[in-house]
Amino acid sequence: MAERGERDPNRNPNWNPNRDPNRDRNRNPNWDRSGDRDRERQGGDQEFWLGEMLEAAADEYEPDADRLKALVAARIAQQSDESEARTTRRTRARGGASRRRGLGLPGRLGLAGIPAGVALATVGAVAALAVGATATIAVTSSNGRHSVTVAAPTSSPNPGGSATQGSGPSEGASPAATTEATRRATTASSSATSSGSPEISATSALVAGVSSIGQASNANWSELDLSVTIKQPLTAMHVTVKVSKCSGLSSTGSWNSGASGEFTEVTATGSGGSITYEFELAKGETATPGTLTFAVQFNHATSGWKAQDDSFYVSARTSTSTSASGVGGAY
Amino acid sequence: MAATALGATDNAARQAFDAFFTSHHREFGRLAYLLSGDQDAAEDITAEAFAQAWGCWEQVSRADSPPAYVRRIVVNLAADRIRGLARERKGRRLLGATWSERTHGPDMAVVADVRAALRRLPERKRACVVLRHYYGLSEQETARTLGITVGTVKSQTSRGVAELAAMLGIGTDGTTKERRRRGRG
Repeated sequence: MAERGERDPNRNPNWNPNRDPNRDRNRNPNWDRSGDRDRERQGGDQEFWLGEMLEAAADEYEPDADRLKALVAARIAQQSDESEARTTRRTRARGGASRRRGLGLPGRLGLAGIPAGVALATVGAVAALAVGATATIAVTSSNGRHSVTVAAPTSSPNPGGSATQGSGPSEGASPAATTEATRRATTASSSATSSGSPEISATSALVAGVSSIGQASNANWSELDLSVTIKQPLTAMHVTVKVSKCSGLSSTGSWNSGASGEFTEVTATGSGGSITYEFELAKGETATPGTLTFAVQFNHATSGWKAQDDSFYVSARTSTSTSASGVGGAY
Repeated sequence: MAATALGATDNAARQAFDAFFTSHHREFGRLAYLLSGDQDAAEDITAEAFAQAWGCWEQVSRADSPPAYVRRIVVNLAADRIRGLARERKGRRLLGATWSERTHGPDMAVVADVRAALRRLPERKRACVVLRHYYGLSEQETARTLGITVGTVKSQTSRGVAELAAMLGIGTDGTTKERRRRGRG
């Protein structure tokens, strides 16, 4: 192995397994490291087989960029939420709704909104399909969690009333507020503000989602509700709810408020112990504008389950969409 | 929307972060996958790593190599998670195997799947093997990433490779010599 040190400097330390997006479809185990491999062989390295095997193993996993984005955004929101929880007494949950109308104010927005929506909203805008998402996650309070359904975007999601309307002025303002808030939250870790607001959904054109914890939930059993507002007729829609592994986790069911047969439901347990619930608009169906509820139910141990660890993702497309738009966040 | 931003604003930092995400999420996802051994964990680790990176984005972006900085976060998170799971497992059995679940049964050498074999390597050896042989990092870079010495990287890597080879019934030159090299390191 000692001789490897001499060759290594030639390697690109930022080598990126990512750089050929088509690679995964080709699944060529030698793909773009073949140069390296040759070098290794010439260099007498006897272990090239290992790199190839590792690559093949790694290739089994294709990270879902959209889901990851939503998770990152949710965590960023959580960070700000947590740092706020550390430093202030949270009393403003109920005041949130009106407060959050003032999105864009970089002030203390207080509630545990999620910038996932913010992030994805602008994604939608880029794709000329303005998408907004609003996720309400549990306020981390001393008694654990309670869901706060704030300023439901279902009620007045698009003041402009225009389904095709791009993001309004809030588009620029809200991500800025988020950025501002998260930066302060994470760098100063003091009197941080959380960010996000249902107002974001004002920018949406296809769908908006609001998550909450079902009222019937108890210490050992919970229901997570996701209220999805559909703004335009959708020819494809897919809702994923992922419940992170926790002690005693087992699914007890799911339901949706769509018409009978409109959505197919699949529940799967991941290799890591999480449960993924999927709802997919059946082929040939069109989801008409309105609000649908997607609920998942599961048992869990009395402690250990946190709604904040759970996430949702909604992707949607219309008959004219060139690509799917998605919104996501945490509960 | 595959290549679009996390939150496109005119904020330069945010844009830089978005670009960074776009170009590195797969790389870090796969690294996390190899280190943790399951896709759920890989997703969590990757998301957390990016979130942490955003939390100290100024430092990350000023670093000589931002990817190397975040790679360290990924490796540390994976290690934390593995240790956490190992602790958890002492108390109760859970469904699903993780890398930390080590088997010392006599049939290890029969394992024909590199993933399963990797799972049986102790955390540090696994990290060394993955960073060196999958990621292509130098010994120095691996040492910096893991916070260990170059000497340790060398020994852990070579032992890790030997153990993997033995488990897979492969000679270290890549040939299959199951009968000959059936030992375990």
